[in-house]
Amino acid sequence: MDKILRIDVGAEGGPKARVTPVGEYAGLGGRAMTSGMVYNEVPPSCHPLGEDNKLVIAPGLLSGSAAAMSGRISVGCKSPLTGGIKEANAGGQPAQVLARLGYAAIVMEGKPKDDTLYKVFINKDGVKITKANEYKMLGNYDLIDKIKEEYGDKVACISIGQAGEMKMLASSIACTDMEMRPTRHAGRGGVGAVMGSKHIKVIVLDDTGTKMRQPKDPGKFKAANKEWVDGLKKNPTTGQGLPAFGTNVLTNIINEAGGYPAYNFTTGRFKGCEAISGETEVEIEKARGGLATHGCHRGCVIQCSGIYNDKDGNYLTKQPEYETVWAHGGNCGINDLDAIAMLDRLDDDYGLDTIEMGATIGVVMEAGLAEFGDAKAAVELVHEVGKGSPLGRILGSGAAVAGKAFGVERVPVVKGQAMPAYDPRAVQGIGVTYATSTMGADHTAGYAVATNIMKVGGNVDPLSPEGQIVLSRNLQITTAAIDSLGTCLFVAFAIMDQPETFQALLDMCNAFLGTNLTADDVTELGKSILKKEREFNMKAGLTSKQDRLPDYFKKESLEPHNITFQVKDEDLDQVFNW
Amino acid sequence: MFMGVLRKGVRVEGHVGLSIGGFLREEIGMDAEYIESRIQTIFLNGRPVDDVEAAVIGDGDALALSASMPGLAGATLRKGGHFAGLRSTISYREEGSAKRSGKGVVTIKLFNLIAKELAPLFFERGFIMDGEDFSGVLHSHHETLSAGLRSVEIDGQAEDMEKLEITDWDPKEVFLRVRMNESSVGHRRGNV
Ligand code: SF4
Repeated sequence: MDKILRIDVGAEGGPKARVTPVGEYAGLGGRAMTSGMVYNEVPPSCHPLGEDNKLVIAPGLLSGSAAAMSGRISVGCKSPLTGGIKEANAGGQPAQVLARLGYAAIVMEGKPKDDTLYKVFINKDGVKITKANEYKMLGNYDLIDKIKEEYGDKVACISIGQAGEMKMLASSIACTDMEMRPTRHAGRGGVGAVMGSKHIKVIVLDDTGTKMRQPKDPGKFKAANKEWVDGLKKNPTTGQGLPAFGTNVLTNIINEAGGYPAYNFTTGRFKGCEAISGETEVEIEKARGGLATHGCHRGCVIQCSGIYNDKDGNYLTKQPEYETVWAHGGNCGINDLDAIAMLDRLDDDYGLDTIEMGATIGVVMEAGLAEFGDAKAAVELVHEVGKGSPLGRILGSGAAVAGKAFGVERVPVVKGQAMPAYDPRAVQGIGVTYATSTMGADHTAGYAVATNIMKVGGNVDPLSPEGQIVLSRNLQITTAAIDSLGTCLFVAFAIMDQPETFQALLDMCNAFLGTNLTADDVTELGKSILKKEREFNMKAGLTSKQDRLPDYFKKESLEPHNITFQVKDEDLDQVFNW
Repeated sequence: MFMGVLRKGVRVEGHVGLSIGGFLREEIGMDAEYIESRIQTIFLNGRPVDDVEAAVIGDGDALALSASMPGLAGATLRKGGHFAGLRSTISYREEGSAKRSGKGVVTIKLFNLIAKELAPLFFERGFIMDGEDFSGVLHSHHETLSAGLRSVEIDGQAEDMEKLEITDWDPKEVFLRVRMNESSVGHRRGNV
C-alpha cells in the first residue's frame, strides 16, 4: 500500500487518474487516512457536493494481509448530512482487494464537467475509467449483475444506487460481499451523495495476479495472528454469541433494559420485539435454508452475518442486523421480519443508510403520513425514495429534513444525523457519545470497549458523573484508533475481556508493519484523529453548541424507567477537554 | 420449539426473599460457576444488576438472564462491567427493600445462549406458562410433538396427544414439566 490513486473528475475530456506515492500519508490506514486527508485537503467551508470536497476511500492498515478481521474499508469526506467531517466504514471484499492492489487510498476530487456517468476499473496493470451512462439510475443489485456479465464474479465493487446518483443525504456507498452481492454499506452521513456528485457509479476492483500483503516479520506475525484468532474464538461473545445470533441478539436485551427506542423514540420497550429478535430471525433463516452464521468478507473469524431467504426459500437479503431491524422494525412499530428484510433489501438496492431511513419513516409516521406498524406503507415510502418523487426526495434527505418538512418536533438527530438503536435516556453514557461524536449521532463512535485495558485517560471512578464523560471520551479515542486498523469493531469484546488478545492484536500490527506500537501509541493515534476531526468541524461551523441532544430528550421521560437525559451541557463540553 | 416461550418469560414458584444468586442456585438448581461466568447480563424488573449476591428477589419480580452481549451497549449492560457507569441511572439498586421471604412466583426470561443451555433444567423442574402460549406451541409444532412425545399426563392422568390438542388451554395457566421419556401437564387456577 505505497500509492494513492487520485481521480480528477473535472479534468478536460473526462476524469483522469493519477497515481502518486503515499508520501506524507505513509503509515496511515482507514479512518486515520480518510480524516487526515480530508483535514489536510478539503476546505471546511466548502459545499459537500461541490468541487472542493473530496471522497477518500481507504482500506485499513492490515487489510489485504492474512490478519483475521482486517477487511473494513473507510470512506471519508465532508458530510452533506452533518456538514462536518465524516468517516463511514463497511465490511465486504473491497478493502482486501484494494489493499492487495497496493492502494492506500482512492481519492475522487474536482467537479464533473457534464452529466456523464463513469465507472472505474482497477487491476494490477492500472486504472481504466470509462463512460457508463448505461448504468444510470440502476439499483445496486442490477448494477452488480451487469458488472458480473462484463468482469466475472471474482471482482469486488464499490458502488452507489439511485439515491447516491440523486445526491440524497441518506445515501450510502455499497461494497460487495463474498457472494458479490452489494450488501455491505458505508451507510452514514450521505457519503453516497458525494460519490454521486463526482459522477462515479462504480469502482470495480480485480486483484487477479496479486499476492497477499506480506508482513515484515512473518514468523512473529503468524504466531500473533494465531493467538488473535484463538482469542476471538474462545471469547463467549465473539466466539459464540455473535456467530450464533448476529448483532440482532441485542433486541431482547436492549428491550428488557427499557432502552429500545420504539415508535419514534416515544417509549423504551416494544411489544412486538420477540417477533423480530435475533433468536427468532435465526430460527427463520435456518428453517428457510438461509444461513445464520456467515462472514461479510474473507478472513472474518466471528461471522456475525447470515443470509435471509424469503418464504419460498429464495435469497432476499443478508441477515438484517440489529440497527436495521430496530430502525425499520420497533422504531416504526413494525414486528414483521419479512417486511424488515424487504426494507433492508430495498435500502441496499437504492443505496440508503438503513438507520437514517428507518428513523425518517418513524418521524413521518409520527406526522401521520402512515400508521405506526404499517409495513406495507413503509415499503412504499422507501420506493418513493428510490423513484425520486418529490416526497421521496424529502424522505431521502433524512430524518432532520423530513422532520422540518412535516413539522415534527420529536426528531432524533444530532448534527443532522439520526440516532441509532439505543435510547440515550436509558443508557445515558451512550447519549454522551451521541452528543459529542465528531460524526453526529453515531453508535460505532464508542464501540471499542478496550479502554479499560488501555487505561486511556487514567483511572477514574466510572460511576461518577465525571467518570461517564471520561468513559465516553476514552471510547471515542479507542474507536478512532481501531477504525484506522481496518479491524471490525466486533473484535472489541475479545480485546476488552482478554488482555492477551489485545496484546496479540498489537503484536500482529507490529510484526506486519515493522513497528513498535504500544497501547499508548494507539491512544495517541486515536487522539490525533479526533483532534483533526474536531478542528475541521469547528472551522465548518460545528461547535460545542452542536454537541447536544435534541431538547425533548431532556423534557420527555422515557418508559419504563420514566427518565430524561440528565447529563449537563457543561459536562458534555468536557468530553474533548483532555 | 419452546424457546420463544422461555424468552417471553415463564413463571416459577419458589422461596423468595433470597439474593438472585441464592434463588438461582437453591431454587432453580443452577451451578454457581455457571451463574458467575456464563450469565453476564441480568435484569431485575428491567434494571441491569451488578451484584447478584446483593440484589434480593421478591414475589412477582421478573428476572431476565443473558450471556454477554456485543457492542458498547452490550458491554454497558453487563453485570459489574467497566462500563456500568454509562447506564447508572437505570441500574438496579438494593435499598433494603421489604421483600419478604417465603413462597412466591418469579417470572424468568431466558435469552440467547442461556435459553438453549438452561432449557433442559427448566423443563425438568417445570414452569408455569400462559395457556394461550401453550396452545400456540401445540399448534405450530404439531408434527414435532407427535413424533417426539412418548407419553402425556394431564393433571396426573395418562392421556394421549389428541387430548392435549383438543383441550382449550387458552383461558388457563399451564404448569408444564418435560422429562426425558415422559411429559406431564397440569391445569392451574381452579382447574387442577
Ligand atoms: S464480524 Fe460481522 S461485520 Fe465484522 S467482519 Fe465479520 S461478518 Fe463482517
